[in-house]
Amino acid sequence: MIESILLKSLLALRLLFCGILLVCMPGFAWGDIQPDLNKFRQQVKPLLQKYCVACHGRQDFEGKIRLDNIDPNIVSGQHSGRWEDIREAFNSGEMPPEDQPQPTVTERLVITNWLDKEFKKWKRYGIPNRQGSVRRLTRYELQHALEDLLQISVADEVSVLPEESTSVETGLKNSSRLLMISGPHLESYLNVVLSVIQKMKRITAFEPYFEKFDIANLDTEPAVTFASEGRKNKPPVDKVERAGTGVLVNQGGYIDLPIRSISQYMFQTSLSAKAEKPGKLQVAIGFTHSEVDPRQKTEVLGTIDIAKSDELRTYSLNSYPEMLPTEMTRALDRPFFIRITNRSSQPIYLESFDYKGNVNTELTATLLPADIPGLDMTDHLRQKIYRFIEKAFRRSPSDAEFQKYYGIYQTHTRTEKAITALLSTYKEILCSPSFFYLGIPGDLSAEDKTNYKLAERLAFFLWCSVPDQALLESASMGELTKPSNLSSHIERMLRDKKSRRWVEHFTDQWLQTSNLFNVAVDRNYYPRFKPSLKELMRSETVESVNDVFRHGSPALDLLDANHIFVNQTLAVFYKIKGVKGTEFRKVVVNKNANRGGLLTQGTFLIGNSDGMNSHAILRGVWLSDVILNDAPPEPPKNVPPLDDSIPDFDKLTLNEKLFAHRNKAACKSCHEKIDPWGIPLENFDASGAWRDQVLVVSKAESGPEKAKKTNFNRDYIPIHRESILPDKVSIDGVSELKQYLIHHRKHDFGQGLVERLLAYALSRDLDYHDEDLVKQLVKRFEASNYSVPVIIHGIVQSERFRRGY
Amino acid sequence: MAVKTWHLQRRTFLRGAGVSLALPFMNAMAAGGEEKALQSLPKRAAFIFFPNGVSLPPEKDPQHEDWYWFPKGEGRTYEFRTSQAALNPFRENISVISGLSHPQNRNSGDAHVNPTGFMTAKDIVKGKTSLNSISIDQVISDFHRGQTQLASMPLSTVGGVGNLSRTYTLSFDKNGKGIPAWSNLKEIYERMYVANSPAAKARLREKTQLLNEIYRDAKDLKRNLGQQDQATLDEYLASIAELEKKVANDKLWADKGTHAAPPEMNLEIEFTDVENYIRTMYDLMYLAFKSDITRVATYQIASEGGTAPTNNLSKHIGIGKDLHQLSHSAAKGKDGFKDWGQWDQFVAQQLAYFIKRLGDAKEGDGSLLDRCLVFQGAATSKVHDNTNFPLILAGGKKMGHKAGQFVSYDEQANALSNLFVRIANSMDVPIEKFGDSSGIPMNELFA
Repeated sequence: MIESILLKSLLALRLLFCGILLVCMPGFAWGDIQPDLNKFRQQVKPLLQKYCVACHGRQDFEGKIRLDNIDPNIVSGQHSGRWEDIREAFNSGEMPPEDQPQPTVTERLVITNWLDKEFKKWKRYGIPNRQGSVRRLTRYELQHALEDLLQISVADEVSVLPEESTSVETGLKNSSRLLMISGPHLESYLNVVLSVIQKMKRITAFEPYFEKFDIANLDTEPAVTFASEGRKNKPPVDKVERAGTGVLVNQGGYIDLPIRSISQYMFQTSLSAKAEKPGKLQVAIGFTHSEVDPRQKTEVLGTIDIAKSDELRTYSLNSYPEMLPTEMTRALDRPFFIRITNRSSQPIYLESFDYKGNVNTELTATLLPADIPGLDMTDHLRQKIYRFIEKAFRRSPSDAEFQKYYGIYQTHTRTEKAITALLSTYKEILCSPSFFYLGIPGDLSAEDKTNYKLAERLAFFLWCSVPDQALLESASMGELTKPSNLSSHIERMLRDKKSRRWVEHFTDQWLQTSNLFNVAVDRNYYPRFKPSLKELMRSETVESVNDVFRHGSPALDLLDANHIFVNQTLAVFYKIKGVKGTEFRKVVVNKNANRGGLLTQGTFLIGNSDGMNSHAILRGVWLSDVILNDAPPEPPKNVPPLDDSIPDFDKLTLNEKLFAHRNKAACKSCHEKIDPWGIPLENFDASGAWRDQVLVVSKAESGPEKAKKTNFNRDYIPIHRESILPDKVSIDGVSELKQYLIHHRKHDFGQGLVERLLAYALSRDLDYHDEDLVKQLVKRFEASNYSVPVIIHGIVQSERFRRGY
Repeated sequence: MAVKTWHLQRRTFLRGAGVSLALPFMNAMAAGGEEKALQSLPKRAAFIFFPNGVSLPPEKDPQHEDWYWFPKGEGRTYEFRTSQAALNPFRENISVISGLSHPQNRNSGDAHVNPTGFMTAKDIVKGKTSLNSISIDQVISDFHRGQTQLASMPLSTVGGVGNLSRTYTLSFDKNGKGIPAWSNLKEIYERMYVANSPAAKARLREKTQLLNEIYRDAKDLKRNLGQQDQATLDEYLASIAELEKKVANDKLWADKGTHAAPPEMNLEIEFTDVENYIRTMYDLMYLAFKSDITRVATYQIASEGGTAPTNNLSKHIGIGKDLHQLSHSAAKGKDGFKDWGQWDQFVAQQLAYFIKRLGDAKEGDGSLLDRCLVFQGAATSKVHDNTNFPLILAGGKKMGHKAGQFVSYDEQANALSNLFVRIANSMDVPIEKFGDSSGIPMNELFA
């Protein structure tokens, strides 16, 4: 039994070591797609003769795979399939069989390298058909489109939809080839639309309610309305004091104002205040568990900047119940309060405070403006419905289409209120395939089609959503295709905060940030780490990409930079001093901080570790794929297990085991190209923190019987971070690695980014027909000091994007 | 606040369910005698999954004796250890199985990805696999489609589909797409008794109308498209047709009006109230089988890995570590295996509850359990080890299951898919192959 367990754990280890390589995605390395037949003749063929043909050259051989008469042209020849089998048998060590002479390591490398290169070319050449341009919306596009059309959050509703699979080629989720649909999926999608409309009907029926607080006359005793934060016993008087007809709130002081109940829809807190210097008031909502249980739970809603002013000014903050934890939204009947806290160092004078619940007036007004005397409501509604269809379908509706939907509205008004009837009409529009599918031309003329579909592509590229009125207007006038118009639209769209969605989704897909959330960091190793840091680390990554994508900082900042993007909590974790507050900001750091660029972000350091130890292979694969645009080949299926005959195998650290592993002949040729990229990052542990030695935790032999917690031994061993890169340059540590990347590999990085951006913009994998465009864009990228906005203009203005193929 | 009211209310719904249940059997009795009536009784299968494997302390570990998941002994004389002791009363109805797994599905570096292939035997590799393949429950469900109101009940505690690395559903359709699992008890209940409310009937009418509408739209739009794009819309049209069939089936059952009266139940239970939640899931499965609302159900008790919302289930039942920690720290802590074994024990107690309910329900010449196969397992034996799944097969004695033994298979020679084939066969589905099955007949387990 013990034996079999050992065997199994070895097996599991083996899987761990080799399987991870599969994470990679083959990238493009543009260049010659001609098969390299010379190399085959001169180097590979003699080896096949030496080791294989004795068996695989006979007609009657059992395996039926013949190598004597094989077509060496893998790229476009007749035996590509047979070559795949050969490659797998060879890489897995299955062939040549154990009892036959084996090729040397160098000979193996000759064969694998040639096969790798030819297969990469074959992948590019081998895509025979172009994909169509019609595709359905992804889950996140559906969410943003519904939100832009209906002005309401639908995050909860869309969460029931399945997540999209990622393209193996690009890692992207909007690849038209993969966006399929099935019966249950269609049902979930229709249910999303139905439940969103249902929710809106409910919300528009709400009566808003108001609560006004007369701060000057608030009862101060015995009810504690004023209190100081934190330390319980500290008297509140020095934090909040009565002044004139209001109160003066000092630094850290707060007041609690009881509200009737939690709002079911948007709620608004308004206050009038003044301050001698600019200050900040934080608004939070909270509740007390019960009358007997005085514990409180609060949730920050936002911060209001109070301007320097002698006179009272009114400020307000809108919040939604969706922002609150479920613990709170479920506790409907608890005593709720709004808490206003002074988050600045100077006193702020507060005079009045209002609370509005179920504020649906804005939503109602957006959907259906109140009856305006002199305005023909029928005409207005016709226009409203027309505009809604145009925006939802990203094209002008045909007469028949418009009549159909307007007819639906008229039918509904017989039994429903105008606003409900309107929502019923919207429901039908949003269930239509014209909303759900991109690239549907309807009955448009050729010119309209070009314009409208360009508006659609552009909006879904940069906003992950439907076009706005300005884009649709340009399209309807046939003017969007003009390069100057297109340019100004791109600039406008990048400034608009909706383009941040693109940054977030693209970042997640391109940089595989979801890995971060799939790794559970072990608290036995990293007591400083809190799972809530992960969300902050992802924000750090998104902020750094946002700075490059939307603010135009050079993309090479992502390789190395003298600044990072953090807030206070993350800065503390990274041991960077002087950052206060919850907002993320650009912070200049010195070299000793060892931070800057993507490589030093927790997102990738944790995402490519196993939660306990750093993982040079995972990090190497990630870096090679994402940064160098050179995804390592898939590992062979049956890799020999880790060699447990090494003395003291059990006591080796993960990295020592890895080292032993990659020194095996069959593994070496690949790992020589992968591990050197991960090793320089060894100074970062599996929680993303800096370390000078490697922590090894093991179970203590014996501990006190009664101890509740298990005892662990914590040992430290030195770090090995010296690495010899595939081109024989030797580097030591992360700074040298970043320098190397900036000086020697920026072209590869730039090309990788350009290719993924183009693939995303076109919603498909690239193939060799795209080669010229990629080359041209990479050139512009380099000439513009790696400006992403320049590349966005380049992509959108390209013939390919404008025509959508 | 969730309260333990299901104790009380169970009685109420038992009465409700009992009445309609006997009906098909009685009708058949009247029509053609007892034997024919017995043949008319439906066969069912439930597939249950729990994550991260089980406690398997090595032999030298003092906790091995009590907390090792697999039983002592072999064949018919096996003995459950502490963690599975709750199953003792049902041992004559149970087979414990070792040595089976999915040999093809071991290639993912992150072993927590493999459960995605638990019911499909598909080789799932993170970042490489973009589609799964059909799961065995759906093979069975497709075969029996139309015979019951719900073709199958895909259940999970998290709900939805998750993603291919961390699945939240066990069921995958014939194209390998995840079928969104149901997690909200109320919703499941509503789906089961959908036919009975006027609001539900109105919803069905609305859906039928919508589907007609979008079918026309899609046909219309197809005209102006190129060949590739037409194919895309054809896929859409096919999904409409598929959904229409489902809605039509729902309507048919609504119109039949032969439904069991919906029992009164407390459905306001969050999964953080772990035991109540899981037992109510089992209650719903039991009711669905008893009233022949469905023939196939899957239930994922928790999702694999350390990041799913269900990772804290163990903490909610008073064990100090979350599920992922339990599995990872077992070998490190002094009581690591015992802690883990306590979670195993909890899982076994819930399964015992389900088996008891099925066994207590009389049907035909025996109990509901005799015509219901309950399959429970995990996709790793212990954490990160994708071999030797800890498997239990219960019930189904009148479906050919030779229960009452501990069967060990040769890991190298056999595959779980072979068992899946026999389970499907026992559900009258005449398949010979599934996944990586190799044709081994598994006659030890099935007559």
